Amino acid sequence: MSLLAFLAETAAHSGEAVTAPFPAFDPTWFASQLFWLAIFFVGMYFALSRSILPKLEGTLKQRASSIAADLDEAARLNNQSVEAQKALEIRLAQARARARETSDSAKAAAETELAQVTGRVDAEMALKLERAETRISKLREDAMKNVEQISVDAAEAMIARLGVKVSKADVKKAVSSVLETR
Amino acid sequence: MNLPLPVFLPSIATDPIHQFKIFPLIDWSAGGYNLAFTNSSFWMLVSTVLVLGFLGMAASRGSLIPNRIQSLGEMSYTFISDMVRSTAGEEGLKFFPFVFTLFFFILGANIVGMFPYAFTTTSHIAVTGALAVVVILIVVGYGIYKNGLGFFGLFAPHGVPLPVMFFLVPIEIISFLARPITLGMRLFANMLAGHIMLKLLAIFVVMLAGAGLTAVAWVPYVLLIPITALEFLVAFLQAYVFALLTCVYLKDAIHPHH
Repeated sequence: MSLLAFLAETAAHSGEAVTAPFPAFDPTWFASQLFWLAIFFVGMYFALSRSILPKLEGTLKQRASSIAADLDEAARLNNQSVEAQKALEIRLAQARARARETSDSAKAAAETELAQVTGRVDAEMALKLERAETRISKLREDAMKNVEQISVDAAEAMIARLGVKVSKADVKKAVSSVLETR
Repeated sequence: MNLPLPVFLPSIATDPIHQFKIFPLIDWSAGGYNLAFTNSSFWMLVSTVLVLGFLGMAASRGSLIPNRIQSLGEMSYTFISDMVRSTAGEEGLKFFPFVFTLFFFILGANIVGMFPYAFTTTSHIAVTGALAVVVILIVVGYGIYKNGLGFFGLFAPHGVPLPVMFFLVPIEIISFLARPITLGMRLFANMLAGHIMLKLLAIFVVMLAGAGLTAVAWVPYVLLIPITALEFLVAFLQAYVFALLTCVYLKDAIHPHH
């Protein structure tokens, strides 16, 4: 079909349409349109407002309330855990204090016991030392007396060998003076 | 009962106005009125069933953890209820089911109309005008019920000097009277113009290709794609605008003194 023939046909068609009113302004169907509009619109309105919208609203509210309840529960559990944490810290501090107390007292007890034992041992040692010292000094004194006697005897004997007559008292005196200078 | 749709294909293909023609599917008249079940009624039924089917499925699950369709339904609910609350206030929520129905009725009709061979019920002034009149009647009725004669304070804003009132009051009255007309006309004109534009472009494709100008026929063909997308946007936007303006007018009914 050529373009011209096509346009001619279209023109003839639209020329024919001019006699009929534009469909949107054709009053033939106004009553029918309004009637069915009323039926479907009112039907849709009741279906939505009576059934569908309340259901949707119910779901949304239920979700909102369950989220709120969950958040409340979470906050409650959080508080609980914070409190438990606090209690734990308090008990931990108490336990620490008690442990320190126990160790301190044990230390003090050990120290006093140590001091006692040391004191006793020291005293014993001192006593033993003293005794030993007195014995030593006595032994020494005895030894020294013996030394003097031996020296006097030896000196007397030596002098007698030399053929010098000396009194025993003078020998003793001379020996003791030599011993004293040492 | 008329013949099935494909019989009308030849004239559908060449006439941009044909898509708006109403023809009876089941003849019926009552009380002297022609109340035939027409193609318009049929597609209105289709969009109503689709909308109720979608929202019914979304609502029936009622699970705390929503799936996709339930999530969509709940988003629709909060979208419209937020719009009503922010525009008309808490008291406006009384009209929430009405606004919700309006939005989805118009959206359903507009979207269904986007499918080939379907009929766009909102491209007829009788339908959009009737919806607009219902809105205005509810606004006026509730305004007078709620505020008594105080509702007419809407036409006389506070703090305006008397001489200015003589000009202002008639202007306010005219603008109020224009509301149902503009409300109905906006939706009607948008749907009508959009569908005529789509049709004209499609006819150009057929004509040019039929005349052997295939290379040129690509131009309107490609152009059709973004314009179809635009028309889907318009379908949503016009439903939204209609519902939003309804909320604005309801606010006037609830609080006439602005």
